[in-house]
Amino acid sequence: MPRIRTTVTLVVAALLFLALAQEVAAPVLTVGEDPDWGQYLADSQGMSLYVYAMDEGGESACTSEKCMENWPPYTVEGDVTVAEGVNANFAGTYERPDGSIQATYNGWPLYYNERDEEQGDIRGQALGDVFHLMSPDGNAIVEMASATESPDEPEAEQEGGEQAEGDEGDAAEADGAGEQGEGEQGAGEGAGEQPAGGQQDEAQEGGAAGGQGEVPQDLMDQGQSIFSSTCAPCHGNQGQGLVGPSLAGNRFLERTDGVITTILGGRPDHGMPAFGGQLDDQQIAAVATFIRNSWGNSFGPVSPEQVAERR
Amino acid sequence: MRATRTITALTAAACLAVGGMALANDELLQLQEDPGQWVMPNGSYAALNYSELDQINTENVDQLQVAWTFQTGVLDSHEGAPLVVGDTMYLVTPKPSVLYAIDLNEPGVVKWALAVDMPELEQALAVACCGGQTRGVSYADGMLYFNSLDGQLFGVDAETGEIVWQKQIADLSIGETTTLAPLIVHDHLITGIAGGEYSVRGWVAAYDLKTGDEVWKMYNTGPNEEMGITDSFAPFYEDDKVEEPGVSTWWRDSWEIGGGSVWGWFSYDPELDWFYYSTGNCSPGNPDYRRDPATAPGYFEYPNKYCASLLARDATTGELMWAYTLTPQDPWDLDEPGPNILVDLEIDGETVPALIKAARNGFFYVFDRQTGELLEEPWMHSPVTWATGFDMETGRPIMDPEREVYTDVITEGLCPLIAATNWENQAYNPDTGLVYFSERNRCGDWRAFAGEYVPGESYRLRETVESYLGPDGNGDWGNRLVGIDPVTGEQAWGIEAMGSDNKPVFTTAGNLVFQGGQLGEFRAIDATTGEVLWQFMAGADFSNSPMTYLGPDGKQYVAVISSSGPGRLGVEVDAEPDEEDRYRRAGSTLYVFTLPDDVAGVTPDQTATPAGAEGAEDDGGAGGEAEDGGGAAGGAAGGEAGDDAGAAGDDAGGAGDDAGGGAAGDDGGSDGY
Repeated sequence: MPRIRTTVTLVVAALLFLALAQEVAAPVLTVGEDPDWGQYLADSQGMSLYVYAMDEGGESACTSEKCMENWPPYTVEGDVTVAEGVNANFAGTYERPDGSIQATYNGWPLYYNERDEEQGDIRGQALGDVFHLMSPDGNAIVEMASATESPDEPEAEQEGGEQAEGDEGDAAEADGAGEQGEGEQGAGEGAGEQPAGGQQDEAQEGGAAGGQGEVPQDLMDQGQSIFSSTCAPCHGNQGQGLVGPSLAGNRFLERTDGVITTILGGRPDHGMPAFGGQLDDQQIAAVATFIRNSWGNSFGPVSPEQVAERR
Repeated sequence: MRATRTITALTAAACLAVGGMALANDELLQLQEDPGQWVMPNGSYAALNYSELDQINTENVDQLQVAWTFQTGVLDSHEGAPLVVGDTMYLVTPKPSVLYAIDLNEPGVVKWALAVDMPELEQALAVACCGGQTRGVSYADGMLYFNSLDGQLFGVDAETGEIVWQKQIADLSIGETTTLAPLIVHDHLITGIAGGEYSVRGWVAAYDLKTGDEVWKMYNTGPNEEMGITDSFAPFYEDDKVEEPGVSTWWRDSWEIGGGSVWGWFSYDPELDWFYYSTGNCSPGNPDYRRDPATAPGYFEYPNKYCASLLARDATTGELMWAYTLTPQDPWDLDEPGPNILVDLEIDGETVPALIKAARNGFFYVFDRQTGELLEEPWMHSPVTWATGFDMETGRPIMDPEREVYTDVITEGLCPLIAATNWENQAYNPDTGLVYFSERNRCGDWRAFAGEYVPGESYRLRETVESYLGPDGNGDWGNRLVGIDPVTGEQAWGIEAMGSDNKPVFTTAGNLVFQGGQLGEFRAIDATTGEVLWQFMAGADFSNSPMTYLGPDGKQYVAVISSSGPGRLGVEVDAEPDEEDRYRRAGSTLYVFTLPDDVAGVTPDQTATPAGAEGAEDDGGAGGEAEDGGGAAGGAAGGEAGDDAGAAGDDAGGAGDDAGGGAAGDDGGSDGY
């Protein structure tokens, strides 16, 4: 290829980037901070960056014209460098189908939100429960930082460097700890200490302490097993959401009816298959109980009878 | 000249006597034909809010005088008009609700009063929007039915005032309240819930008249089986012929708290046996929670059916027959509680069974009520900026991208702001062929914001940033009372309203329109020309539809309740004498007006004659329906005459460009309830 042509292309591309992203040379990931959501990734101008839950396996699912208009990919040229507080090991790039290079963090492609106008704007945060700010430790920020302010959980944001799948549990744990705190004040059942950075398994006990009724352990165990094989491929091992929506901290799980009918009949319009034919009442009750009482959720158990009623 | 009628209550008594033999709505179908009585909200199933009585007319209305008054004793906004059945008037007050039966033989004398127990009132007040109201009582077969704000439904013996049954139908803990007047069809009543500010999932339900048992309950969003969508569902437009419209047009599970409450008026077509209503705002107010953020706004990918929509259901089974989304995705809090008026219109030489709607979203719609087809391209009856017009192939409004709403972004120049019309009764007069309603021409800037859903807590997630009259804040954009020909779309007349609120409107065969205003004025207006013929200062605000009936003495009476809500008091005692609100004080008074005996053409002893009873039957035969095509023709003629007078009215009515129209009043007091 003649050299001159390459140069021209680069110039055009640079101009394009200038117009779109204001980020031509030496892209730098920085850290912004929001009183509600805590620390999040931003570009060198301080403009907030988001990740998209649909970007399974690091592939951008935001390829339609409309999506790229609403969520301009953070396209870059050259290596991505990082400011203090950002983990350089997480910074990377992804080649979009159109050949442009999009910055990634912990494997997740990064986007702007079209509606953000200046540094500190986070108008895209949690939209649709699929676009989220990215924390410097590599997690999508799905829970408000205020949920971590429980005295029981002083070090909620200390983890980092794990795979994305494993990390959403942090926020969920923090949430569980908060609820557990309430439980201790109220019911005082002493459902167990929530250690800093503890296991997500503890959350189920937090749920019981939260006053939602006893959650039978055998149901939880059975549910976890079904979840791992049947649900985790789409919803993530930690319920953090992959191609399917996040279940950790998903308030719709509070609605027993909705949970059961969704599992039974699926969401054909959103790609979730129906499991009514494949799982029996007991199995659905188990998995419903598990997702409603894990990762900080504490919405109480679901019984096989409740499932049977809705078949 | 108009014949003076001498209808008496005998007809009604006869109907009451046989009422038990037939279906409740057979009785009502008969009763609504008798202009001497006023047996249901809006006077008829067609929701015309029109009376055939013409003893009081343009010739003599200036001699109208107070016959008697009644103090309801509840200092709040009275939004339900009285009923008259036989020789008794019934009215229900807002909370704490009192149901009164007033003996028309001894005007103002209470037959009985029922103050219902509302143990959860405090909780209801906590979740009821905008004051919390009760829009009236319904009658059938010797019984009265009404909802109290706290979600109770009562069946009361009309003769004795004893509660026959009562039940709790709304869940206050998730923000459901009950504000509307039930519709009676067959042997059940139909009612629904308010709560769009709390992200309720709207529904309508039918209850057995005798027992209060639930007959069916249908949601306005969600899976087909819960919405009553069966093979009978036959919407006109492709947008509605989709799989599970109540689910697939929503982002994920957002339909579960998607609003679409039911807090306004019902209408009913006995031939089709379908009833019509339109639903409240989509919830939460911020559309970012109800659509795919990747493709936002995606108005037609995520139109959020069926909030802010018009629905036709089978009155027997509750099944959805057709539906149409008035404001796709409703990012602007455009509830549609207003009446859906059923009239047969002459369009292009054909008589069509129409449904007409001066919608809160600013458009005027004419539907074929059998199919849901738009018979005419909807036009703007008030300034509209969220859409620029209509695609008549698809039935879609053409959305204006300037008015899109996103979290934390201010949308400027939005018209209408919250409401061009609202719940207030509109009126159709078959004699003039005009529909009358008050329109509010307010525009503003709008912002949606993020929030967390907590059951039973306010979940609006939107606010008015600024509010102004007209699209650019300039010009003559005060509120107006208008008379519009629904066929041509022409405004026959429009007069400035004294104040900033929409007000209920009522019309009669006396070629009159009656309306109370915000400053305490009650006016009689020439229905053809818009000329104000008579005015009475009542001393309090009005949020009540006038109604009319024939007393036992054969005289026509016009009744209306003047009242102001707790937030709408009068001016300070030392206000300047030209202060706009100087007439107005807090108070709740039923005023009953009539003509002097000699003007009315009756003498007090001319009561209850057999001749009068015959007269009633004859008149009843003519019907209170708008089906005769002559009405439209009359309307065209009236429209020409009205243009000049309407202009005169503009000048004359200059008082109060925007009385009391502060931000609080607009964003709070006038909003969805």
